[in-house]
Amino acid sequence: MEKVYVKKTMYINSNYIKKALKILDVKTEKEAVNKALEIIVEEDEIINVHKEIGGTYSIEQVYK
Amino acid sequence: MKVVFDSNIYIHWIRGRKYLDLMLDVYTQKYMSNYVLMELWAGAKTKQATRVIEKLQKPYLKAGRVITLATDHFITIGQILSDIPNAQKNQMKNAGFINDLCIGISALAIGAKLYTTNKNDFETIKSYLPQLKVVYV
Repeated sequence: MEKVYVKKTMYINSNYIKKALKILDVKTEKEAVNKALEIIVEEDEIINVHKEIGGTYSIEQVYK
Repeated sequence: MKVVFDSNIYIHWIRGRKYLDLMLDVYTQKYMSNYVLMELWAGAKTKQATRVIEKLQKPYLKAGRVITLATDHFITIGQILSDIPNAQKNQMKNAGFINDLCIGISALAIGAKLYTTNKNDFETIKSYLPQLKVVYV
């Protein structure tokens, strides 16, 4: 997906932003917010695929 | 929190929607070892199974969440295999055990917690990788 950036003005919890900079190992608040959003969207895509394939009874266990 | 699932977790999920709380947890960051991907492909023996694994791998690959090991990791794996005493050599010769060791190193490499049903192999592996966080389900 092409990355399109838009300017937003909003109130954000400053304590969370400080923690997010460390957790996500990024330098700027912009990077922290974008990285956090990226993780949420990626995780949603993974979970949606899990939902789709669960219970399809179609795979063998070759290795224990 | 980063998590890695052993192939047995995915297999239980695909077959019978077991471990729903793990597979659909929105508060974890799910990563996949490329050894898990290999084991899943090894068990995909029908067209339906092939489609399932293709679907499964897609978002992990797109997000860069498939873990690949570096040379240093393989050196560590070799050193562990070298240290395993003769009494456990039979376990070591099992391809599944080697794969599990690689999966364990993969989880450790990204600081993830590993979920598995295979207590037997991972108890041995953990004795060589005490920093590895393993959850038996």
